[in-house]
Amino acid sequence: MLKIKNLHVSVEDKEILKGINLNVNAGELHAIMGRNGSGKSTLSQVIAGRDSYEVTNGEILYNGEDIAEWPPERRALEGMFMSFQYPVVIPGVNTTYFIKAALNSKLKHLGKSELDAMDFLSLIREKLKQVGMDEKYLSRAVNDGFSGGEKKRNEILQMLTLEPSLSILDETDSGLDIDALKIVAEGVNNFRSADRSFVVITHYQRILEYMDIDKIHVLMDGKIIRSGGKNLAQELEEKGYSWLEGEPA
Amino acid sequence: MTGFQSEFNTMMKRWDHEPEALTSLRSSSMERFNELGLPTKSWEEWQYADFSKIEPAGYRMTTAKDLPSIPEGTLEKIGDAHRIVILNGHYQATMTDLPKEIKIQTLMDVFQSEPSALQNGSVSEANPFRALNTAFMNSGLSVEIPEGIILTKPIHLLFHTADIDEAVMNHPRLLIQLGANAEAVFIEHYTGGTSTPYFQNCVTDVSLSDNSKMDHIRIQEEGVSASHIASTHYSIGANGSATGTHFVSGSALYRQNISVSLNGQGAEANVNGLCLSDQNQHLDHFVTIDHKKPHCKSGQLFKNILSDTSSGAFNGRIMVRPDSQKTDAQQTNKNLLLSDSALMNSNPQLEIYADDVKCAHGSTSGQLDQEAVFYLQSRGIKEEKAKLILINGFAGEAIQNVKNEAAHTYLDNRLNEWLENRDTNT
Ligand SMILES: Nc1ncnc2c1ncn2[C@@H]1O[C@H](COP(=O)(O)OP(=O)(O)O)[C@@H](O)[C@H]1O
Ligand SMILES: [Mg+2]
Repeated sequence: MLKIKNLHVSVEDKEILKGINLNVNAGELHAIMGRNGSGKSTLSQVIAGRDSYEVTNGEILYNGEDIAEWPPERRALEGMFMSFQYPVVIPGVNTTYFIKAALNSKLKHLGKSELDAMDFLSLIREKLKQVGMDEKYLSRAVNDGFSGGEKKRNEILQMLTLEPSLSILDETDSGLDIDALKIVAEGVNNFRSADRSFVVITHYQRILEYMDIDKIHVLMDGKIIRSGGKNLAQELEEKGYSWLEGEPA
Repeated sequence: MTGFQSEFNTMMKRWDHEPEALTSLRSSSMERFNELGLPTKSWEEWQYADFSKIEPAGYRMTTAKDLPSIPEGTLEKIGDAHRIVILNGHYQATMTDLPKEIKIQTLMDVFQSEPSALQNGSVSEANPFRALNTAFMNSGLSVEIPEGIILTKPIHLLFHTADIDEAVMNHPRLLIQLGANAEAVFIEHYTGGTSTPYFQNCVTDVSLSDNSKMDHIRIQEEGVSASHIASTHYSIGANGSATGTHFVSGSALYRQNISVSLNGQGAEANVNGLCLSDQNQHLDHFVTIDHKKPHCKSGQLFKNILSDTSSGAFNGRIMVRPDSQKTDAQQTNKNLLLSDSALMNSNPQLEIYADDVKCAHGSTSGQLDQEAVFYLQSRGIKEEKAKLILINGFAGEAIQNVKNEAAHTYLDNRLNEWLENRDTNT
């Protein structure tokens, strides 16, 4: 589903990602862990198509296709989704309007008929329940005045509504209390299927306890320095990242 | 002799049937205007606009011969409203429909029954355009909503200019009065169906008695070469409330002086504005809110969206008098620059002479938030559409006080049409 080969990324001539290799197959859930500043968000933003990052080398393949030239909207329409670490506040744009516009854009792309207000409302109500969000958020401006946790639930709400094939969740667990964390994890778990893949980015192993992980990668200074199974998370928890410092990439 | 003075002399001959008192009011106002002259760059309160092209244009007053032949059906309609039509400066009694309880008078009627209503500071007038308006006032109307009347339908005052091939001018003088406990929605609407330059110099004086409530929606969509100068004054009695929304997309030059006088305890005014400018347009608001009594509330939210080489200015002054305790005054000016060549000047002024007050102001100008554009794109919304959604969201706040659905829809549509004609790729 997602194949990243030797990806190098710079911002303003500063190299941030220094040769990332990653292979996520359909149905798999991978976790990427790493300290603040190691390049996790850069990786997710680049996958989503943010143009302020410059890919200087390497490639990102989605279902075998090089997506370098795809604008962000095309990536989304083709089934990619990124949950933002810092969801953007959009004053004056109503949440219902926003999610409906996104969904209808996708339905149109798929050649399906767009949803009218009534059908959309019944769909979104069902999704709201799954992430434990109150309906009142729908009439507010996007993320405007939302708490950290509410913003993250709103991201998961969008994921569940847009039904992507590949979801990158960038620190969706940060700022969530344990109940919210369980809800998010459960939302992801229920959403999993043989043809959907996930990359869960986090720097706590906590959320991973609630998920069935196929692989864990440790990102340090722009490189994946270690990959392994679920027990890698526990080891990291016990020994800290410094345990891996000096590890060859 | 200036262009205005020579036109004035011509008009005085035509106005020879007018009452002596009106003639002398016109003359003293013309004198006052000549003393003041048109604003120049050195006039601090007028510095951002260029008025130098107004006089040389040699505008002449319209006459009955300038009446365009316009089929009724082509004039703008906004929902189900009582409409008052003024074509090229001429009040069209036949196109006007009003319920009996509303008192409508022409300027002449007003002058004969209540001359003081027009005299308003004719000698001490500091705004040259107001003095000029008093000297030339032609398409004048007074609309009065008597005490206790609550109008369900809005009153739509449509000033339409079309079918002209010479530079003409009009000086509409509008008096709107609401009696105690009266409520009404007024849509003051200027449209232009010509690219010939013309000059519209408007004065609107709104007077709200105690407990009355007015929603004022002013829409300026003049022709592209027009100069539209306006002065709108809201005078509000105890517990009275005025909501003003000034939507501006027309004319090459627009300058509006809005002044609010909160004259009685508990009076409230919320004045918002949305200016959409492109090419070389200059759209300029100068707002003064005078808190004359305690326990009054005022809000201002003005937004300019500027593209191409257009420019704009916002000056908002809040004045709180020494006895006006418990004043609540808010002012916000936000501007969106869609082009690197657009220019906005923003200037808040607070003059607060009371201590127990709540006053806040803020001003921001910037380009579209690229992070937000990316957020929408990452959800499958095309870049162009994403920008439209964001600009719409930005603008929407400035017209949110328009509660009349038809008027709100009208503004929404105008905004969208304006946006569709724009290249938002900056
Ligand atoms: N837009 C940017 N401009 C400059 N530096 C950036 C930018 N984005 C990220 N960086 C830098 O890249 C490094 C990695 O950041 P980031 O990807 O956000 O890390 P993480 O998500 O792992 O905390 C940091 O040193 C950060 O300062
Ligand atoms: Mg991060």
